[in-house]
Amino acid sequence: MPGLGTSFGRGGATTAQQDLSNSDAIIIMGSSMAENHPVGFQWVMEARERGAKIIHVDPRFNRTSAMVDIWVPLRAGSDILFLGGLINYVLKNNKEFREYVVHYTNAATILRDDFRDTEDLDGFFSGWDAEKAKYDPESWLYKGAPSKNGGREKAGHSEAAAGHGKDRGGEAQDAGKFESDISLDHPRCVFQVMRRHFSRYTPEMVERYCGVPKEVFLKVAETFSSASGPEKTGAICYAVGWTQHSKGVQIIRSAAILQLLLGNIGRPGGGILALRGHASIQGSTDIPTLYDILPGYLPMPFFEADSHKLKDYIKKHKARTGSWSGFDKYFISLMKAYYGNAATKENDYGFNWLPRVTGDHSHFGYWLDMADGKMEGLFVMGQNPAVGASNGRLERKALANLKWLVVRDMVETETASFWLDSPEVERGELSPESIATEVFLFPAAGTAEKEGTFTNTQRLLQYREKPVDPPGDARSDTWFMFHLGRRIKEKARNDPRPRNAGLNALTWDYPTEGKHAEPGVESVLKEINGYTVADHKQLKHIQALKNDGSTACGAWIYCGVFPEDEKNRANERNPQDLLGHGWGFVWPNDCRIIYNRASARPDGKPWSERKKLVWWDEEKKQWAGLDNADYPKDLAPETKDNLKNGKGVEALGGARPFTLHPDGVGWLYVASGLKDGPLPTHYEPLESPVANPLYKQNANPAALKRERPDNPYANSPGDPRFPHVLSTYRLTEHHTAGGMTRTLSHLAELQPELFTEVSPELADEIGLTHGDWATISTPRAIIEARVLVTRRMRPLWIDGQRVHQVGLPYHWGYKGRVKGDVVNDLLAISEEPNVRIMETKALVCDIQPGRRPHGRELLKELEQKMEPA
Amino acid sequence: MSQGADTFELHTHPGRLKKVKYRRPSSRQWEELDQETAMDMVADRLWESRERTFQETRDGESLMQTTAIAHLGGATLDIEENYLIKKLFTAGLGMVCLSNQARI
Repeated sequence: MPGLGTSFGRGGATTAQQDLSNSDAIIIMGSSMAENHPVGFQWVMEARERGAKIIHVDPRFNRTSAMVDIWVPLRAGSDILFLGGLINYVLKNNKEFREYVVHYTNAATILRDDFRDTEDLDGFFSGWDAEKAKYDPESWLYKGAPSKNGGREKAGHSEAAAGHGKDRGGEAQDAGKFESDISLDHPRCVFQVMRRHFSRYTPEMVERYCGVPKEVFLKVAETFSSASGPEKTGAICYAVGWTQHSKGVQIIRSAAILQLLLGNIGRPGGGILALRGHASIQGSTDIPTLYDILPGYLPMPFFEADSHKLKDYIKKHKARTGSWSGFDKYFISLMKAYYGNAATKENDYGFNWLPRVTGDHSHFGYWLDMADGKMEGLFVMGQNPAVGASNGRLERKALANLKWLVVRDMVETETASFWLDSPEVERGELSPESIATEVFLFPAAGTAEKEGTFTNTQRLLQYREKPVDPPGDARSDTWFMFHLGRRIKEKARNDPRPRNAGLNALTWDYPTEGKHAEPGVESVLKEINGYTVADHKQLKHIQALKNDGSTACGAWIYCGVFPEDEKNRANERNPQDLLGHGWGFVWPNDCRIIYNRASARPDGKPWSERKKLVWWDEEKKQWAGLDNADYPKDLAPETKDNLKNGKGVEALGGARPFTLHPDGVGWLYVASGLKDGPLPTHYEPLESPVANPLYKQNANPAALKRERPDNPYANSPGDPRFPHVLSTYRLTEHHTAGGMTRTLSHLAELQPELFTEVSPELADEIGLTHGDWATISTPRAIIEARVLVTRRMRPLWIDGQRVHQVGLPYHWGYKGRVKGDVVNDLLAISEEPNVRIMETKALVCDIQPGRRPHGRELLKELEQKMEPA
Repeated sequence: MSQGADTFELHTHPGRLKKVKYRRPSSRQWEELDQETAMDMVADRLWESRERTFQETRDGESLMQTTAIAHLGGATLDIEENYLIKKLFTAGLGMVCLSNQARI
């Protein structure tokens, strides 16, 4: 989310999948969209039929590559070199959409004199603290913008913080105040700094280190950069092939820079489409089950960084200009939704009932604590970490250190039965007798057996009614949480200790219905939408939120989804147009393409007839068009900004489309809000066969390796024990770790067995036979898979050496109708610094013909493998 | 697409769990458990672990936290479910270790 969030203001896809049909060129990279998002891919095909050029950049030729104009194989993990190459091409050849760049981005903003680029400091930006292994981002700020850092920790850069939070660069400084040069000639303006930063990302560099021939690269560059300007637009689609890297956020940032330079954000056929991998990935970040944010991307309070006074917390996170000037309204309304009448002005609306974050409480952060015996209990709901998470061996062994484990799923997953049939039990590392963990396995209702809302990849909330009741004791998670909460609140009811003040205040009076006392799901959605406290009227718009405790709202960004008692807009099913108005509700404010003020020129007229979307209606004196304007409705284009002294969104004036940013523009350069730099720069993966061609600093210095005896790494660059590049990926027929699909007869039959894709060249080199077995090893694990020798894989020439790439889908495990080794056992637990995601798309491995040993023999082999070469 | 086409089987296949299963410490087998009993037991475990590990303050300032109880999952769930999980576990019980598949 922070890749898009810091660049544009919101962490969601900027456009709708249908709108891809309006594109003149589409790059799909870090995604096999045809394979993993086949329904949305129809719109790519629609665009192709209309003459758009489709480009797929991917190490493997797959179902997507088969349908495009240009397939570009590149070395996994070299994405920023490739995208940086495109940026450099645009800048060198003056291909940028100049008027858009000048008015709608921070290209003109001048940077502080003490800022130093990675090009100056051999792979580091200024502010690197080698001892703490993190950046002090003070020198990255805008020149002339007063720093807001008064506290003990820098805003948005708290040691423990991840990057899901709302700091979109407006917290560390008063970003409305800055110096700029709209000629873009000032040597320290963002445009010129960026020009120097990317100057070494040449076609030759791309050829040498991505393995992409220069002429292929130039063809891509020419094709995509021509989808720009008043008459044309291009779109970029990505998925976890970009996110799951030790620098994933910066890969997405590269795409954001490219699209801002080409003027492709907020316009039809433009945009960046983040393709999410689960039904409600977007939803579970908007309404987070994450440690560092509250609903609507409000930051969780951090113990030392955030004060214990609401006033100071608000002062820190509230911006003077732009939409985050409403921070206090969003936050206090959330407290009112959580704590009801008990939240008062006098008690800071219950601010100190919220727990404080004190460290890395993300999946890997607490799982390592679990491995070290520091945890007691765990709830796992609709996830299967025993096979779905990195370093499965560590994950499973850690479960044995719990006092109790609750699993809720539709089937018995590997996570639920780790104590019985895991590989560790087979190998004698664990035995049921030695595992004291008490396990509760609850049957969960499926999507067709409960009501509720998913928020999909394009920020679209879709409500489902319930066709059938769940079987037996299967229940929704709403049921589980509601009735668990009821019991817990009962225990606390007469207990006045401070720890129970919030729990006792927690509003939990959802109406129930039916023989199982299912809570009314719509009542939860109504609370998320928000209501007036005094007379309990549904709120119609974000603008109705107040900072005086008179409104309650569970997630400000969703306000408007349930604007009247009987009006559930997520359940609307009457689509009126291509963008789907009338079908479901898109946050915010049913804007299908966000930042769409940018689809009009600064004077409010469309850039062109062909690419019109939202424009200023001179007669009605308001924004009108084919989408709801993502802009104050009656803020006229000629309205002058008052960034230096004004307040709120109005201070942005009539022509600053990125309203969440305090300066109202898209950020080519991110002054604060990211932990690994204001500009993307190429680093090698944590495990790489080659050295970083740009700098002595090989990998992202801010990434966390979490290296320890049970989470070891190969040497990098170039470990002769593990000479090949490995990527994991998914197939159409299976869902992630396979718990919902390996159990089904049709899908199990369609993709019955784990396989590894290798090129004919690699097969020849080491003697692999199509259809036979291969053993694949990394420092973490050894697994076996059937060999698929295919031209879909090909070796690449990287800096004069031939690099082989090995592909492995990861859907199998030790349960279900079809079984196979756990591919995720091969991965290390590592953390990208902003969102703490692991690196799954680019690591190193060995592959040999034949099957792996079993039992203790396997552990011996792993030890031998790790002996220094 | 094939996953969507198999939605019927996803809900009706014979491998679906229909009863609560329970595994005692150090046991080699599952047992069946009545759902209401299981809910009571989970509420007890949760309450006891929270009691043992909760910290109200640190250095005299409000902490209101337990790091010994965690939650995982959410991207396959509805937003209403995610909302209640965060509300009860974090805003009610002080659990900070919440995570899901969406660390993107």
